[in-house]
Amino acid sequence: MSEHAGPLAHHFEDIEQQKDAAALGMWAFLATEVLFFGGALTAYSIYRGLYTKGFAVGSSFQIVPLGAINTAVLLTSSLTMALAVHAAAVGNRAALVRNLALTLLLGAAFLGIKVYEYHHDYVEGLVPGAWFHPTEEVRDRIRPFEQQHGTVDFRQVELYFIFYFVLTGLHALHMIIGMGVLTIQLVLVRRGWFGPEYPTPIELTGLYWHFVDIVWIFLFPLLYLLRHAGGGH
Amino acid sequence: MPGPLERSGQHVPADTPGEQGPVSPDRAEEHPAAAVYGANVTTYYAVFGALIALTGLTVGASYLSFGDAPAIVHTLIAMAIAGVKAGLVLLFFMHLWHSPRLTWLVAFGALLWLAIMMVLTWSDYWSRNWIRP
Repeated sequence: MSEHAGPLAHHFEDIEQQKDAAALGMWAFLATEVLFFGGALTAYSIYRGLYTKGFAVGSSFQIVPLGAINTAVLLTSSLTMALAVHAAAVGNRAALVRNLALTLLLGAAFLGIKVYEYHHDYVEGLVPGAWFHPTEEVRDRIRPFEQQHGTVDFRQVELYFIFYFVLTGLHALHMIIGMGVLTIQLVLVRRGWFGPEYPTPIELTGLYWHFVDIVWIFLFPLLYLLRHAGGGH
Repeated sequence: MPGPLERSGQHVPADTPGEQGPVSPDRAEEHPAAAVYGANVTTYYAVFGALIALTGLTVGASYLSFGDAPAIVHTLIAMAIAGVKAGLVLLFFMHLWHSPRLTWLVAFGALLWLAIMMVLTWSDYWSRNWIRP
């Protein structure tokens, strides 16, 4: 097998070995990504433990229905991505193009909702730093919470929003990169690349996209749903 | 010669569909819904349905009140549900279930290192005030 024919690179024994090696490389990259997000999540867990009240109040300022809808949007994009990988492997080009395009569209929908949420936080004065001036209306909203749990230190709430913007911002950056890769592959597929003999590039994009989905699966409850400061005070 | 990545029998039991690998192009045209990467379209839709149901469950659980229970009860419930969801995505969407054992090693190696980072950091903060100089 000295000829360089088809997608098999000369330094691999056969196409199966090449596919496994490519997937393994992607998994190794994703392992570094786990620790990249993991560092930020470890810091988040420490501060949520130290400043439970401020973080509970910060979470209560999120719009839960929008977060839940965005979770469903991202899960649906993972489904279409899995269907795209399947279509590439069985050589169904029409289904491949359709599912890649749907994945892109759902990714864009997710980012659109995220932009709306960021704007909403900006209007309420919840963007940390020089912009952090929570409006009176926002402060009034937590009066019942304060009656039960005592006064809330808004510096803790600001720290929650630092974590919120860093974590969701890094997640959104990963999605933008993924959407760039998907766009390139959509163009290449239309030019006849990635047939059933070597669908691996689509499979690897799928691994990345699903990983970004998993990050959101943890971010959604951690940032939107933990509104409770515990019993009594 | 069998390389370290070769599929020759050391990964998955031979009776699982993943061992057959992706279908050949000829077979694919006969069976457009055939299993590739050990999963077929029906699996994907079932996993998707479970993921949406679990999302509803975690949102619903966040509205429950546990009286005087500490806040961490909600955290543990939310993280348990998120863990199940992540597991479904890993095993079926990312085809880990039918991947070589070397891939399992890398995936769980990442989780092991993550656990070391988190557990040692938590134990530090937890035990900091135990000894006063």
